[in-house]
Amino acid sequence: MQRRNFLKAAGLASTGFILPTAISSSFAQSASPQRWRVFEVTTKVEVLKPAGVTRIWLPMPLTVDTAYQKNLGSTWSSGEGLAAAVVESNYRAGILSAEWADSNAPVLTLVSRFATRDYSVDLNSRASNVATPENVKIYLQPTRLLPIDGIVKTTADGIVKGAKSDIDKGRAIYEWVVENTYRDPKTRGCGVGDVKTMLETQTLGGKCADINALFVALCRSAGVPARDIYGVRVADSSRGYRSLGKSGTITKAQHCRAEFYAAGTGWIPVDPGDVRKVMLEEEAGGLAIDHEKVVKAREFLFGNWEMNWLAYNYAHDVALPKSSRKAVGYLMYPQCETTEGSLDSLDPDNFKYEMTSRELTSV
Amino acid sequence: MKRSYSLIALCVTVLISFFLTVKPSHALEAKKFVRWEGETPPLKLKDSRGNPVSLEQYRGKVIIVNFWATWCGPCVEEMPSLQKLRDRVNGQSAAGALEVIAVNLGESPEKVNQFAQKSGVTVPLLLDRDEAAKEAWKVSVVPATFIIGADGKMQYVYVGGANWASDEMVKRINAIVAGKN
Repeated sequence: MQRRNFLKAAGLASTGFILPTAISSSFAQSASPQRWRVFEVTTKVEVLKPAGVTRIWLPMPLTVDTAYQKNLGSTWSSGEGLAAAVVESNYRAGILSAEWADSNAPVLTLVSRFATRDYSVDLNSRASNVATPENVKIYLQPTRLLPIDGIVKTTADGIVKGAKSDIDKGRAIYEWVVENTYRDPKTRGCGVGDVKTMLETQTLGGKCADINALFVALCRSAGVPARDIYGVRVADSSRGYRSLGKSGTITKAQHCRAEFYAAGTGWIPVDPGDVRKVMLEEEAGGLAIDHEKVVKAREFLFGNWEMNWLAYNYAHDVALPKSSRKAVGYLMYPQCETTEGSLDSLDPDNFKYEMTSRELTSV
Repeated sequence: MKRSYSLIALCVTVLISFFLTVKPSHALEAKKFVRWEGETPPLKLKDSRGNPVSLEQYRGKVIIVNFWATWCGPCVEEMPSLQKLRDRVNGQSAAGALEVIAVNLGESPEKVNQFAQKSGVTVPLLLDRDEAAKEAWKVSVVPATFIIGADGKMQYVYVGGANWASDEMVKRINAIVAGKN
């Protein structure tokens, strides 16, 4: 998109974005009474040390609408560079892919708007004899960092022993993950999500991409479809948890959640990683697992999400277009390569990139 | 037929590679218009109102097939200009010589109809819910626009957003309609 067009679109365009007033009618059939909120997230990347050809890849909001998130559109500006929206094939992940030739100063700005509302699933609502849809079966497959055999399978079998329904299995794994993992403040970013190594070394510490990936891999090993959802926090929590929200500058607010699929019920939101985050970060000195705040978070985060968060994608092993690297484990952070190699996605000040969020209106 | 599809896949891959490497300062719009020849992949989908649509029913016309999504800003921005292009070309040449078809990637009919209502776009909006057409046409970037001659043969592909109603574009498409491309 040329600069003038971007500016036109970014200025409350009637063409670039579908305006929020259209949301309520679009979702009139939804059973959830939660109100929709509209946010705008801006990601600005300015590569400080370009060398030769520079490429940047940014995650875009979920390309398919869900009960909790509606994509209102993205616009972008790449100055002298070329940028295009790529639709990744396996998981339909939207990726903004940009490239600059020699001697250019790469600056990429992505502006995305989306509507979101709190999400709850009625765990008692179960239809009988419902087959698992074809498009869910991919979430039973292993990935490079989420094997579903060996120690992962053995561990999962032990956890779900005696559990009959998918929800029972998901619950057993959720409780096991909450009980046995811990949030490690020394983990860079959101973690790697190398589940096999976590189990083999009995090092069950990490952050959301580790802890929730462990939940996902264990579910898949137990025959329950599950998926990570990579995203970023966009607002403070209205539930009283200061550790579970971020507004304004959200450059380091990336957060991964998880879902599992129960036949007859559908996708169920969970977030064992955030339970451990409440324990570590909610109050100075940490909270015990039986502290009221932890107990409430633990109960809430099985079947519910507070939607102060933007979901990007479900993708694993993401092949970045024209990248010299092999596929990345997941795409949640901005990625960049120059002829001198990859930049550190977890070092936004030197990369550099900045992300901001603002709420536009309520519907 | 398989060989033709392979050729198409190769051409589109080359095109996308070209698009992501070429400097934009050199007449970008002209450079993004890439000519290639080959069999046209099949396209048979339902539109956003549930009506079946196929390329076959437009045989004898020049057809523009645009792949898009409502979440893609440049796609949404260029869509009205595609409709204006159709109207301008059909107003200057044999009536109905050009048809524009827009293939939406993976979104619901409600969302696409909402877009149509808001934008006033009336070109056929086809739903590629399972993205089978996207795979068949080897589309990995949106917007991506294919131009098919009246003989059913693929002629050009254009990647990225454009003002399709510009005089330059209308002239170019008129030439294709007149068989002078």
